[in-house]
Amino acid sequence: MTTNDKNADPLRILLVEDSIESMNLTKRMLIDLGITQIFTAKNGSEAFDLIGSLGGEDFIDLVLCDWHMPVMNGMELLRQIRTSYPDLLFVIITGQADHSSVAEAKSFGVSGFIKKPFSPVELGKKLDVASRIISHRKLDALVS
Amino acid sequence: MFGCGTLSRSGTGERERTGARPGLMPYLAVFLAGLTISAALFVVVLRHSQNDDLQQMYQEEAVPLTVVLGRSIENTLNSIASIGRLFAASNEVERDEFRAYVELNLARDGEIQAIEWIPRVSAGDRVAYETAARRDGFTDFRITERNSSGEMVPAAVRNEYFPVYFVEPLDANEVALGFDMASDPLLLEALNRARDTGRIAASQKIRLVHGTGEQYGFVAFAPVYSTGLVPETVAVRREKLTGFALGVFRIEDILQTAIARTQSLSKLDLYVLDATAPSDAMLLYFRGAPGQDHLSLSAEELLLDGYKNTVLSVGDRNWLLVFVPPEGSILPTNAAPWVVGLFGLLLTVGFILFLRTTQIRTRVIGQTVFGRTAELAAANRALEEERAERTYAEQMLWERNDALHLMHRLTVAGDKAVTVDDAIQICLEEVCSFTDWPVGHAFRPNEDNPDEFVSTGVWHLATPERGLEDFIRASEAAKFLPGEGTIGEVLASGKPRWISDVNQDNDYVRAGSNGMLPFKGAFFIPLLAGQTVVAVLEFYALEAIEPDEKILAVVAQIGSQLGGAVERVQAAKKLRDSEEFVRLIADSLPVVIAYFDKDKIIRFINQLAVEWHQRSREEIIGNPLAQNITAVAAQNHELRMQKVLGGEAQTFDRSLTYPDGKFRHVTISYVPHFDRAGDVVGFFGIVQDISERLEIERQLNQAQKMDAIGQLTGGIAHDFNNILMVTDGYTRRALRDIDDPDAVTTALEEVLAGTDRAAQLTKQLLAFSRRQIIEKRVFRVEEAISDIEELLQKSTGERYQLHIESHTEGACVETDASEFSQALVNLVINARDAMPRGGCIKITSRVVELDEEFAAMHQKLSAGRFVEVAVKDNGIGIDEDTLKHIFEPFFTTKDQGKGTGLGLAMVYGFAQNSQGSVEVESTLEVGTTIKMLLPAVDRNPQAVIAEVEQENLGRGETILLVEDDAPLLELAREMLASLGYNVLTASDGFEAMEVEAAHGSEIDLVLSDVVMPSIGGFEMATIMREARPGMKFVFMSGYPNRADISSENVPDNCQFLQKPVKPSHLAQALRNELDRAGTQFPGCSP
Repeated sequence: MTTNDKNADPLRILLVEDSIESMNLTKRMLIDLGITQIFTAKNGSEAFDLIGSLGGEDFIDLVLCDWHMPVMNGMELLRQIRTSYPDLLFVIITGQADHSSVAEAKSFGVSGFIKKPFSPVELGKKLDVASRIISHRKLDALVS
Repeated sequence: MFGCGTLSRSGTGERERTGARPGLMPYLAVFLAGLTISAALFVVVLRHSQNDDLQQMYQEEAVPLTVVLGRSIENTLNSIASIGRLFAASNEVERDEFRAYVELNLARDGEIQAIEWIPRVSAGDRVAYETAARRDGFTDFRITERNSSGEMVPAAVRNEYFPVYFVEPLDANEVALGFDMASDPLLLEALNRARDTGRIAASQKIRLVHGTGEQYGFVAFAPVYSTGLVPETVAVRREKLTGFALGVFRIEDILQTAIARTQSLSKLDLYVLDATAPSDAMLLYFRGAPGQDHLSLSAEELLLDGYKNTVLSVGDRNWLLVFVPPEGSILPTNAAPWVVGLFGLLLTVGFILFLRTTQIRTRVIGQTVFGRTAELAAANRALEEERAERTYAEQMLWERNDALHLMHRLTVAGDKAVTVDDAIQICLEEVCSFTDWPVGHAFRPNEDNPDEFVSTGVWHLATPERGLEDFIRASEAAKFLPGEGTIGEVLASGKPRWISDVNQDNDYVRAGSNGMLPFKGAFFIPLLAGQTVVAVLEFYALEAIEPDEKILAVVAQIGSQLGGAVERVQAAKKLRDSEEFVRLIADSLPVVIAYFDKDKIIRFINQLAVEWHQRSREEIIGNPLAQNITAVAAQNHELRMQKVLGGEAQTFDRSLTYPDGKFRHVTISYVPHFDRAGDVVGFFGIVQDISERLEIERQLNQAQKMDAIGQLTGGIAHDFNNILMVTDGYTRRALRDIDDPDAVTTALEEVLAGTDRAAQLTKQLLAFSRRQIIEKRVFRVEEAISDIEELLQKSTGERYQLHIESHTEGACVETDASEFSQALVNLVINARDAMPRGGCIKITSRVVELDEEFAAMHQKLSAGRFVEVAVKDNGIGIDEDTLKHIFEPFFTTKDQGKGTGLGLAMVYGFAQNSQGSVEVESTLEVGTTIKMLLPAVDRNPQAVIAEVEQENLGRGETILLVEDDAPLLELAREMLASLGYNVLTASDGFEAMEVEAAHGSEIDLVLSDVVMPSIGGFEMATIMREARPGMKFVFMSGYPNRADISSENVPDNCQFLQKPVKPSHLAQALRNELDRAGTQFPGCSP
């Protein structure tokens, strides 16, 4: 919540969530955390199309994605994203974490997890880390 | 008469007179004698002839009348019985239903005054019944009786009433509605007899008021019980009685109809008596011969005088039909007496006119014989005609009974039908055969949508199927909602429907391929269960047929009758479904369920039993248990089975391998099954797999142990405080007495002793909590024992003999050798302490093979070769309560200060960590043997690996450990903690950065995996160093050849380790990195 302020470019976040209530709640939190560019999708399939049309990892900084969704769930979306955008930060929102699912998500290259229900503070910590990674990468890209 | 001459001579006058008298006398005597004999013969023959006449008249008239009358009364009473059955079969008979059923009988039996239903109404229900009847439209209905002047008044209060509730025909009998039959003593008497016998009982004659005047009648009661059938005992009959179906009959009409049918009784008077009634109420009917219009005889006279009579059973009463010849009819009806009389006279004269009279006599006899023959032939003819007449009358009666018989067959078939389709099939056949219509079919509710009716697929086709295919297909595809088409209309109205020609009917929606159906006439019957239509039957005739009242009347009843049957069948199916449900439950349970009869034969098993035993139900059921398990196990079960058959429930645990190859720990329960008398008739066997539960228990034990460790902290603190007090106290004393070398020396010695004790405590504690790094190596057990023999001897003292026997033949184990030594020391010390006055301690070692069964009963143990090290004492033994706790940390029986309570706990922990086990055998006052079991290995002993050197241990620094493999993370965390570091953990780079953000300044070093999803170790390090440039990193990787671990990617100033990392190497690498000059504090250097 604070780190974000320090950076010139605020994060561009794609929020993928099938429940309207959860979507609105998370969006509200993101806005309170100073995020101004929030894109939303109701399922994995919609999200994947949106990422493509927005310009992939060059444009979207972080995907915040619910695990269980109709049409294409979080795991499936992650798998697809990794084939096209290996570096896109992808944080899965989990209700309950069982070890095998966590291991599977890791094997597909998940960046991190955030456990439901989460507080704005917890979400803010994730954003801080993401923000640090993104700004590092951007700097890295500039240097090279 | 025979002529006498007159003599004139006097001289001979006397002689002649005398002579003439004897001459006449014989003639006169012969004449008188002849006359007398003739008269006597005349009387005898006359009597005889009269009897013959009577006999003949009786044969001609009385017998046919009795037969016809008997048949008529029997049919009449059967009608009443069938109405009784209607009520017995159905709980709710509606007024309309009753009317429809009764109308058939009334139409047939003109002599029936009324048919009624009189329910048994308790005093409490009186108002309810009266109200219900009023609601049915009988606004003045009330339960009545006759007062002394014969007027109908409300019935007095009684326990129960039998009021006329339904009566048909209503018009002529409305006044009877509500009349309590039990209020009339004559009727009550018959009613009670019917109730107690369960059979139809008839009343004495009663006076009936009918439209045509007064006449005698009787009432027949058919009892109806709630049980349907007649209960066995009188008491139950009285209890279960629900009411009576009854008929009121007009005696005169019955008799006159019978007389009209036989067209006889013209010559004899007929008296009908009720033989079972009191004499004044005996006479039921009189019918005089022509001209005889008054009673000439009383009942007693009729009974006593031996007139011809026949007996007729009317219900349980006997009626006598007495036939009396008319008074004064004494004249002979044939010539026999006269002939005999004349013949006598002729004989008399015959002496004189013998020859002439012989001729005359012959002719007269011939004529007599001829006359008699003709009369006999005529009588025969009359009898033949009578017989034909009678046969015809019987046939008429049977025809009228056809409808009733159809109903009866349907009722019986409905009761027997197992499925709804059966019931419908039978119904279609019976109705088709009754009506002679060729096609029958039925619709029923769709199972998925009960409002919609679909074809049952059940057909009765008495005509070839050819030409009907289109119709059948259309019918089987058709669906009807209430109101749709003819079926829907019947469904909605619940009433039968008749269509004279379906091709002309607009409602009828099914048609053949050419729009025409191969038949015309049709009728439709709804089968009703209560108000619900459960099926619709349809029938077709080839010709157009106008509605037939007879058929419609019959089918109206079929609807409710069959509907009831269908409902019963459905209920039976529900019951079967519920049985299946119970079986489903049994099959779904995660326990084996079996039922044994009292001969211990298996009668039921569930699905799980089939799976466990790998045999079908058929193979198991019907056999004893012994055929399904091993002989040893069966022997074991035998005793348990005896006990459970004695009524004692059994529960016991077993561990065995089932035929499906799985080894299971099971709890077996035998639960006796008692019958109502309390006798055991069998028992249930329930087998529950508790293998999983045991595993969970084991895990729980482990958790409890950890809990215990937590609790112990208090105890340790106490011990440490004691030590601290000692060291503190003596140090202060040393400071105080610093000038006195002796005092200082003594004090410092005490301080040293204290620190030794503290070190000992710490070491044992660490061993117990498994934080000590286990340095496993392969070594020979007998060598390890002999290495410490001296130490063992020392730790016991001189009063104890130490006896060591090794039979391991060089067997090796792979574990921490120093811990093994420590464990052995602990066991020996324990043995020593069990023998305060000294004794012998025996250490034996040997190789044992452990089987699966044994292994399964011990945690962490797998079958195979083991080295057993047993330490045996002949001390005080351990009681059972203590035995449960001996492996618990800090549990001790020793005096305070003597033991820490960690000795055996350490042994236990050591054995467990080595995939081994500890067994205790103890007998009070005899001694204890404790055995360590350690898995034997086939490898040669290794050289001792150097332990982590003291200077390489951690000094409380904080390390952030990042590893995405969860088990590896935990292992490394333990290792670092045991080396003396504070550890923070993260399972990926992302999380690590979160932790770093929260704890940044505390972290002295990050020990991280290199390859992790999304954010790798090197990227993470670079980002972290942006915030904290001095952060130290040590990387571990299992992928030495991967491109991304090329040197250019590796961040500056960090160490790199190859997995697997040996503890000593790790310790050293960490120490080196942490001690690197100038980088002690984060952020100090680039």
